[in-house]
Amino acid sequence: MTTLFYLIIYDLPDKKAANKRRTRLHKMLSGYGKWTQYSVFECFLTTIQFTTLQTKIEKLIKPDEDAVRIYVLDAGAVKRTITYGSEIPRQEQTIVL
Amino acid sequence: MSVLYVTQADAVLSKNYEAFNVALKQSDGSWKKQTVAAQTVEQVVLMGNPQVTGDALVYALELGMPIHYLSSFGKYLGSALPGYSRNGQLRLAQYKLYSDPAGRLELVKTIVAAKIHNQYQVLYRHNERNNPLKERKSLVKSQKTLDQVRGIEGLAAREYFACWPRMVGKQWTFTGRNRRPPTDPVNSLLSFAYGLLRVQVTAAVHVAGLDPYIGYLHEVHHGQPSMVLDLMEEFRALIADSVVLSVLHKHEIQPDDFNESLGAYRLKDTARKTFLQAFERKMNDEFKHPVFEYRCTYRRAIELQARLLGRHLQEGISYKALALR
Repeated sequence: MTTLFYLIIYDLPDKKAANKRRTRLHKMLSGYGKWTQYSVFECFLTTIQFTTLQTKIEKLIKPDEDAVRIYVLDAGAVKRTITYGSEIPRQEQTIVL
Repeated sequence: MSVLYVTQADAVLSKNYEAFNVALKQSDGSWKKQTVAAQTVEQVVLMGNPQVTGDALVYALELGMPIHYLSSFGKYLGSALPGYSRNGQLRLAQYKLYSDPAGRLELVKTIVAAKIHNQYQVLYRHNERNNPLKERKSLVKSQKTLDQVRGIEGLAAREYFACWPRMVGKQWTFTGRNRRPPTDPVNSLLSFAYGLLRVQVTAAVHVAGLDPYIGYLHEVHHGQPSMVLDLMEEFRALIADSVVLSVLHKHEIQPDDFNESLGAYRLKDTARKTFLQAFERKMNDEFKHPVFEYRCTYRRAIELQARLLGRHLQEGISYKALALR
């Protein structure tokens, strides 16, 4: 199955209810990809996985207060990515712990 | 999609909302936690006996992810498998071929011929051109009984491993294949590689809905997953043997990477990780599939063969065992 590269960034206000949502969002995204910076996740997902995630995000956030942006990229975009001070995004085939 | 290997015996795999957490014990006694994106994990392989919490196990099964258990030597112990479609029709077809001597013999010949072909290719690539495996392969076709085919297979295997001492190089002592326990480092690597291969084939057999305990080349014994062992044959040389030879030739594994106890050899922790990485590299290697003519990884090829065998059993489409070049 082919996967696409998704860049997910979010910004939630500093209020008690929103803090809760942010933590929940962070935990949810941890299941789908790699936390690279504050409020930034990089995910390699199949269409099915992405659709599931999309529904979950839509259920969780409040669009009038929160902002979530998802950039849909492809393998070419991954190759052209430039990073300073951290690793280039990479799809992990094997995780040995 | 990725494969998660947990090789530390003290590790604890737990679930945290949509993600997995792996707690790893450090040498100073503290715990290091690592988050793994559970949604993108295809299967989990546990070595030694790391703990999995009930939450994590159930979540893995819900996501359709099998969890495989290996001993710390790499011996396959068993799996927790998600409830795939249990295909009754396919199983009936599987039993039917079992009691059809002619059809069964044909299938076994195909498998053994491909196995010997792949063994020959390994030798050929390592400049061992002087061997009778090609004749053995053509001899398979003319055999009349299962036992005769098995005899040729055994003969070919002995001749194949007889070429190994020259191929592995002088710093390794290898006098022939042995197991339970493997009594030299090369044999221990081979056993480990076959254990890892068995994990993949077992998963594929289950995904395809085949009955793992009814096979054709291997006898049906109590507790012997003959179907898995049958399907493994065409991949042994292709995947496991070539991984072992490649780590030895690239000096990724050295003689002092092994611990010996009571005549049995096992890999040290860091070397085991190196070997797992090498094995996974191979599994994710792409090649052009001779039947379907598109590029696919070895991991995918194993599943394809299991499905192809299913089609052979149910729809009579001829089974072509995977033989490369």
